Amino acid sequence: MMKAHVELAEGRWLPSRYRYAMFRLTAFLILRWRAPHQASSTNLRYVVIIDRDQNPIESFAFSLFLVTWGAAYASVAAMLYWGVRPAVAAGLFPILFILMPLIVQVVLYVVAGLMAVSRRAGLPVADTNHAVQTAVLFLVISVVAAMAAGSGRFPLPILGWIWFALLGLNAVAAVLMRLLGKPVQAAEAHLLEGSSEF
Amino acid sequence: MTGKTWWRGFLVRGVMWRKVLRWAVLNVPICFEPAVIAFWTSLFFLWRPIRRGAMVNLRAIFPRSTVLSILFRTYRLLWNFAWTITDNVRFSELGTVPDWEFAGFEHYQRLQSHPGGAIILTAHMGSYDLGAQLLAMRGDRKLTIVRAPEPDPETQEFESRAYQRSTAASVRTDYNTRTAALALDLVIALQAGEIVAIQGDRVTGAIASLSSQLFGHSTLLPSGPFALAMATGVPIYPLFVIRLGRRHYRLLTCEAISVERTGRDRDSDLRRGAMAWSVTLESVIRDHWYQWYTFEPFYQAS
Repeated sequence: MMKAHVELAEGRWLPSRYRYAMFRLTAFLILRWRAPHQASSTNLRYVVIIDRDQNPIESFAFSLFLVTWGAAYASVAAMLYWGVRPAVAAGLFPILFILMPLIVQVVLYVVAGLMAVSRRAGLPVADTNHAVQTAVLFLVISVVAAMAAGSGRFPLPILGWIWFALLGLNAVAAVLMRLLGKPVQAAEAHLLEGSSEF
Repeated sequence: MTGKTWWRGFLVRGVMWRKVLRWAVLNVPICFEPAVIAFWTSLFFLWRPIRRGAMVNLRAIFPRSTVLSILFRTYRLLWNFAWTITDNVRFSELGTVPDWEFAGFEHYQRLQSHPGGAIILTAHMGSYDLGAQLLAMRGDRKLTIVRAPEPDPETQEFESRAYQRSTAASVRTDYNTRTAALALDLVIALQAGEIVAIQGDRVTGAIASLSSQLFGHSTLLPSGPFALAMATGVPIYPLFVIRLGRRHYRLLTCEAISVERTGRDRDSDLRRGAMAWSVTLESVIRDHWYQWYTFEPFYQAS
């Protein structure tokens, strides 16, 4: 959660402000090779919060990927398995793209229901805040869907490969970030010099 | 909530939406957040009373815009509103603080270093609560926030509990319903060197008002801040909290307005202050119309 604030615009590229390794690595590269500009050169002052979920690019990119992937998956599956004609399936895509934000919420309600049932059964489950459980269930569902796509008829496997390619890229980035541990820490410490706790 | 009135919670200002939002903040994984907010914004966009109120005001700000353009602007306004209230709840429930940038920093510094009390005059833009929290965290003076209570008693109770959980010890919230007693309290606070924050873009209930102009329309602005400034001799700092993006806000501080008694005509001096405020307000709203969260017509029908 929140650790400190940096009164520099560059603070937004602190790797600690990102959740996924791919984004952390990208942020580190930008932070490392970007020409620093001082906050004093503009009339703006900054308070940049260090939190793993702070960056909008990551959040929007993931959300957009999720919605696009889900809509594409359903349109292609409809064409292959329900006999929907290709032109109709193409027309389905924008409709599913609009509906996908509603469809992904089903996972939320399923988790909430499961948690309520578990609580009634006397299991030690928190009253609220099931964001982690929801994220885990969603990951499991999407991995199963990607695996099913991988063994499906063409072009469905492409969607499965895209999903696993992203997972693979993130895993490679995670290994790189581990190897770059000290330079990353040094770059962050350098930027955090003189900053204060919020 | 009795059996007869449970449905009231689902009215526009009902408590159920606040409860749903709180639940969503605690349960939606961060990476789903944009998709979920897009869905709920679309749902509220389809809700006529909300859409209509926003459209009436946007039409006054952009009289030459087409209906389609006003509809897009309304969606953008609701999109920002959804993010702002989510950020508010995320702060009150989980302590999540957004990134900030300061514009008009010299005025902000003057406000913080001003030896006596000061009035912050703001509008229904961005997040009032997050802005107050930032001021409290960075300054060492007490801050009194004056706000209008929620029309629905259950919503008011729900929100009061949230404020109590999240507000810093140096921040006090007061409601503009107890007019006379509040005025006295605020005078005492200002004389003790405290900062008083008031929303000055909307007149609700029976509070005293001054007529002014906004976007070429006749409107009413609360006269309280100007009367307070005149009585105590403190400056008024127009200050706006503007949402720039996801968890990213700007604190825009403008040049101070002073309201001094120049002669026997007190009302004329107050009107001069209100006019200066409306000029600043109009300029800020013109630049940031997509987050002026006023869903009732701001102007008086002719």
